Amino acid sequence: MTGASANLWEKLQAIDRRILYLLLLAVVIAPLFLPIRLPTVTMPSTQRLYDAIESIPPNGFVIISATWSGGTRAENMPQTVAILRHAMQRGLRVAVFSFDVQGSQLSLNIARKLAAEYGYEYGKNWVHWGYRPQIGVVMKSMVRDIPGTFDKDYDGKPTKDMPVMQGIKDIQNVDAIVEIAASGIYADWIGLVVGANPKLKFGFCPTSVMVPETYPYLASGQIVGTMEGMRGAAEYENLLRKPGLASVGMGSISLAHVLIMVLIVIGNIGYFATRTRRSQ
Amino acid sequence: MLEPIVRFFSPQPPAVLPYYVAGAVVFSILVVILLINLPSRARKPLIAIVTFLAGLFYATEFFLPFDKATQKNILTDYLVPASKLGSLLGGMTLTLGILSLLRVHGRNIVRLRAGWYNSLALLTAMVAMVVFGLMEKYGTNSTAKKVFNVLFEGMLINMDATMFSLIAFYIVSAAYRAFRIRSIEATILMAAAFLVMLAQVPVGLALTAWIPRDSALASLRLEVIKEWLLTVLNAASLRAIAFGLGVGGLAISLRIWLSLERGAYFEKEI
Repeated sequence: MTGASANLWEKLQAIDRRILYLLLLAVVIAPLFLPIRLPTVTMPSTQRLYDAIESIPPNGFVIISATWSGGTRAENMPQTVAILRHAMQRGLRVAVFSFDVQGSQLSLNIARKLAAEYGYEYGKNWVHWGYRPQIGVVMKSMVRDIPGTFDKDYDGKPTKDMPVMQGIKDIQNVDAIVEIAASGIYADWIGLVVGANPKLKFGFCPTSVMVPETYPYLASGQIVGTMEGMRGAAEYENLLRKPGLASVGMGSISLAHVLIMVLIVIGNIGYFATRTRRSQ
Repeated sequence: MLEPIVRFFSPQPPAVLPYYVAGAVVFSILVVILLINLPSRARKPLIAIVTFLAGLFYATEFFLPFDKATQKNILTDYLVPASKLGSLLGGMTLTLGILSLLRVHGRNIVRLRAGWYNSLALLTAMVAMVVFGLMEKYGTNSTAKKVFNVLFEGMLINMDATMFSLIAFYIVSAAYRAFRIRSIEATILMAAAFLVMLAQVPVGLALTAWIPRDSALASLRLEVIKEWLLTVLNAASLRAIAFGLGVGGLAISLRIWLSLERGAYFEKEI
């Protein structure tokens, strides 16, 4: 092996990080301007969440918790849009709130936009309970008393007399809870709330990195279905026949994944070639 | 038994509300002064008693049998007031955090320590957000509402997204440099990672989309392989980890509840 080729193998293992950054930037941005048409395969977990929402009778009551912030907006926003759209398409009563102060505002903006699109009237068809600190205490008290726990909406108005809240006393009156989060908050829901109503459907929309840890709960049925990151949101948009942000982002996500794999392979080719040369 | 207390802490009519707020502020200040002036040897037992009683309330409410008709026990009705008390305490700890920030960074600015301008930026941003946030919530000034929107939705949320997005660049760089097949275990790990990554994106799924779902080869479709990896191998190991964490968490919770926990934080002189 010549010195030049040996140098090449070593270079393959040490590509300048600025080149890597530029490559990533290019593969993320390019598909946004030159969309790539890719087939969508719906995963069973996404289908299960969709079916769960579909099975709720009209005028059923769904709680959507948007515990996410700007940091995970790319994944959690399309999920929030998709689940809210589905609930509103089906004419369900929707209550939105957040354990994150940013998530409260972001979900309010999304809900307002979709409510206008579907003719949902605030207070009658949907309500926003605002930001709620103290995850554990809120969950424990909402099991027994929802109007008492969420006595005011995001604007400080009393919720008790809102038509959307009529007949909602405790967790037994709730058909589904969907948590959209970038954290392990699903464990709190399962531990404190889900078991209190055997008929309650609990869906979870995590960021992609959190997907593997949800599988034991999917298998046990404690999580009825998931929307796995942006890919899950794209699948859901496909099921709703309303392509949105997630569907657009799939090209960028795909190419970024391919780039990472190609780079790992290149690095390993260099590593093996260098090791072989040394052993000779 | 607890009814008068619950009534006292219930929402009050607007006419008397300011007196309640003023009373609560004065009471809180007095309590904080009292706690600060307590001798050190009295603080630990006090914290231990309060911790025990708080934990006892939730544990007792959980374990006491319910009345079948009402689905309640004698403590159930106090869960909501207790949750509100928890929120109030959370608010007080936030105040402590703000005071601590003001003290630490205010000192940096006054003494012009290295990087004092970062402290100034932090405090300016914090004060601006608090002032305009309160004006947006309780005021009628439309300019203040616009400024708050610029600060919160225009800056904070986007800066948060920017910071998080940067991680992607580091992940690419780190994966490229660190992921070397040095052993059998690393090879298995990489093969599993590649399969799951490919099945995570449509471009990967397209590779095996030509295999009919009802054919004998259907189990070679990437989404099926990924599902098997996640539901069988991954779920089994995660269950084991979760079980260990659960048992450990229970032990730690008991130790904290009974004030048995020891270590740098718990034995520190306060």
